[in-house]
Amino acid sequence: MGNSKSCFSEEELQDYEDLTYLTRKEILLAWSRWMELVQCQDSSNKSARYPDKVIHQLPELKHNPFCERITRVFSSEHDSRMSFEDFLDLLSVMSDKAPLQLKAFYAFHIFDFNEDKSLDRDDLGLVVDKLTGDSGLLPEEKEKLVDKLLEETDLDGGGISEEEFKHLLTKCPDFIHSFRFSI
Amino acid sequence: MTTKTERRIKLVVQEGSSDEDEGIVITFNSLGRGTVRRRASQRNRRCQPTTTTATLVHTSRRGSDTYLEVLPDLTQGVDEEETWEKLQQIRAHAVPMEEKRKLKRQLQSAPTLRTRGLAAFKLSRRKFLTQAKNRLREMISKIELWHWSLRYVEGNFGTGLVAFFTFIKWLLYLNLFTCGLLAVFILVPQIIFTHPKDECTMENSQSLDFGNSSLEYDNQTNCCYEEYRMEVLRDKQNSNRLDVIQLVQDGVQGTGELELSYLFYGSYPRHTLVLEQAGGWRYNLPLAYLLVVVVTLVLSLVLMVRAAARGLTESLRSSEGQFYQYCNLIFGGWDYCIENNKAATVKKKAIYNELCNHIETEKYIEEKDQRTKRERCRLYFVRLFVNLMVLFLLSASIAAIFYSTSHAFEKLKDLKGNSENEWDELKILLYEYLPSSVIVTLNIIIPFILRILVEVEHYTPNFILVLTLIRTVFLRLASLVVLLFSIYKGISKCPEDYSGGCISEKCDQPKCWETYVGQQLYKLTILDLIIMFISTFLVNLPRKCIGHKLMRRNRIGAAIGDIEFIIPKHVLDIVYGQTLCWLGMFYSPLLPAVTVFKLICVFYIKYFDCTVNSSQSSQLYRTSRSNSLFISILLVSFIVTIVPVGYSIAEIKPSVACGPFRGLTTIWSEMVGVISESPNWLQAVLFFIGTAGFAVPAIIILILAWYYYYAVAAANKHMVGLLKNQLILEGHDKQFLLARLNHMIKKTSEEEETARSSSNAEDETGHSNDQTLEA
Repeated sequence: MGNSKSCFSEEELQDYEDLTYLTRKEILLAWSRWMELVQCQDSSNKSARYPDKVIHQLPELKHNPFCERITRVFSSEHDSRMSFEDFLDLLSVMSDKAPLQLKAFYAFHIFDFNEDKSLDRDDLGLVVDKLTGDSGLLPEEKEKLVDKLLEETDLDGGGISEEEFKHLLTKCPDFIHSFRFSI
Repeated sequence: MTTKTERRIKLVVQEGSSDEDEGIVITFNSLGRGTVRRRASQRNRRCQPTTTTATLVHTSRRGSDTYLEVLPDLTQGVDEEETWEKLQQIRAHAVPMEEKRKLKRQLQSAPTLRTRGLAAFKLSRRKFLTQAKNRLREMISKIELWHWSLRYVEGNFGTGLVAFFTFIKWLLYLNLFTCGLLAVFILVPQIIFTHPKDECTMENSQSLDFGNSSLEYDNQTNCCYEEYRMEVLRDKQNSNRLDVIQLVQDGVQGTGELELSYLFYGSYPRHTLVLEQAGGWRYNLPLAYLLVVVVTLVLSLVLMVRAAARGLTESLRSSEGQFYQYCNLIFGGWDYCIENNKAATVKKKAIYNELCNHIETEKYIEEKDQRTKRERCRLYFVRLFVNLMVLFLLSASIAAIFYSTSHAFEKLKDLKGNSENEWDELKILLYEYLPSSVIVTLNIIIPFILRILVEVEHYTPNFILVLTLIRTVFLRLASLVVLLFSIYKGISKCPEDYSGGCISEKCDQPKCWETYVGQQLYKLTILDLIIMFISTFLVNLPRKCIGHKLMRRNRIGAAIGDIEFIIPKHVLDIVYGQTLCWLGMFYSPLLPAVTVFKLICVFYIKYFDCTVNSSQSSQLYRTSRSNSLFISILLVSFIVTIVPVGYSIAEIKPSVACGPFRGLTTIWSEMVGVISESPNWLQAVLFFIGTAGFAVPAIIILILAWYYYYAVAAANKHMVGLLKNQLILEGHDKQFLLARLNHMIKKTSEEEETARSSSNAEDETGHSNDQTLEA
């Protein structure tokens, strides 16, 4: 731990603490996990960016059906490459202390596969596919499910918008418990 | 002020949107909104209008999005507090780190007005508090119990199981807290304070904290206590061998030396303790004993209700309709913490199962409408039959418990009087454990039968889960209540003729029945732990080994080796243990400490059971639902606990020979005695609370309050419906307007097109005219 502490200046640590929902200890832990992940000894460069293949080795992302979307959404340059700071952003959003609105914002973009700022039939269908894996539902069952989802949420037509989605999630008590991971 | 600010924001937004054609999103978190409002009111008070204008902070995070933050106008200088609040909020912005850092620098470099005086003091206090809170949280997270175990479970089994383990942890903290209270107010004074001497003589009568009238009585109780002590010790000397078996037996049953230790009610003295070091400070131990137990029970209730209320709002929100269950499943179904391939496949399978379940439920509802009369009759008949069966099973098991308890009670009486040889001693041991083992056996067998029975009833899967759980809870609690009832019958059978003797001659009750109850519950607690240990390490582990190692790829092997970790069953185990603890707390003040130790063991046993023995459950346990489920089961068992304990405190005569309340008519009369010594006004107030004059208005007010909240809830529901309709209407309006707009745009562009083409034609004709002119 003492080793990893020396990688940060006091100011940097203070910055990270102010700008994320993580504690000092968690930030240091995140750094050591990051170093383990990227297998790189160059500890001075925190903005070095790594391709998504490397990031997906993170145990939490390895088996996540949405891992590609996650790296894409959290990548600060939208090229699916992530730097340590992007990684910290990810952990901050996924921490217990992050508010629902923030989590909802990122969840919305993760589910928005075609990036048109609304969850439409295609997006929802893809989400259902990814969730159920190989033992997929029958097409007509899926169709029915998506219909049901849209019927209630989509009040003004044209897919679920971000605001509608945020509102929806306040009624899904499981979301805040499941959209998280600890360091 | 708030509306003004918001209007200003809107204005700026409009200006902005006229500049660029990109969609503008205002990111506001709820926190931010709150502070804006608060700050606005503060500003009003200070009469220091700082103009807030929206500044475009940063553009294009995702394509064409523009993020707009409400920042104070930095050129004019803002006060420190505002800057600080802003700094705290930066982390809630959904922008990358680099942007957040820029924002921070911007805020820090802005010229700030220094706050002075009281405001500065308040600000520094707030800063300090926030920082202290962070540090504290960090410290707590460092010493947090079982962090890595929980993380492992989370990564490999999902959050549903973690909820179960956090429930154990929550109970552990609750019991630790109880232990702390009991230790501070009962145990520590008992050890460090000086005890007045209790001697069984006719002249010397001390420890009179209860008026002169009880002089004689006190002396008599002291004699009885001596007698009781001698009896216990004599029993021990009789057995006369200090071998290991005896020690273990005493340890498990709470007999022998343990019976006279602080573990049980009997050994607590009835007198006011004196602390000589503090100038003869007096401490009323019996009162403290009573109050601590009552306060602990009330505090546990409050804590539970708080936790249950949190869970209730969550489950209410999700129970609004089938639809939200779908949403919950789709958007909140995946555990992002899963880090194991097997767990991921199982999770996918579980979500798929749950979806199928929902679809099945819908089909079930459809099918229900289409059932013919004959089918319906048959089903109702089957259900009636099953319910009768369940009722019969439950009453049979209750009867079995009752019979075995009273039988054991009588046999023990006979045997203890004249135990001669080894065989008799073995018999004693057997009878000692008869009631407990009957209860345990029934608790294993009956739930199994219930699970089979419920299959034929054709309910929805969710309802099956709840129904089995309710029936099993009923069995478990009923068995405890019956145990207590049979003990109570043993006690109350005796006629009240204590002329001289400590207990009446003809009566066969134990000398100190409170300790006896405490012993029974202590025994059950220990037995429960042993059973858990056995079922995990001696049943499930070999099953797993045999099933998976010896008979691999074999259907029988799979049937033996695949053990599902059924959460409701394990929760019942935990709740049962807690019920024992609450029941026994009054009779055995150190039982919470024993329970703490037990819970720590249980955590590791269950952890082992879950990680090593069990294959994963194919059912999906929702965290929100299971949390509220756990707590509500706990609440039910708490209420069942309160009734016998409350009754015994308020109504039953405590034993004369032991305990802090010896010689009183009821335990509660200690309280009455203290009240009657209090000042007159307090007495009057307390007396008034007990009369109908207070109770009737109080009940009426409660009913009114309840009705008021009911009405508010109904009105809110109505309002929600109206607003929803309005939203839909607005949506239609929007679409209509958009369609019109599109139409208009098309029209104008067409017109322009035609105009252009006509002007082109004109141009051409003009051109040709020119040409002709030139020509």
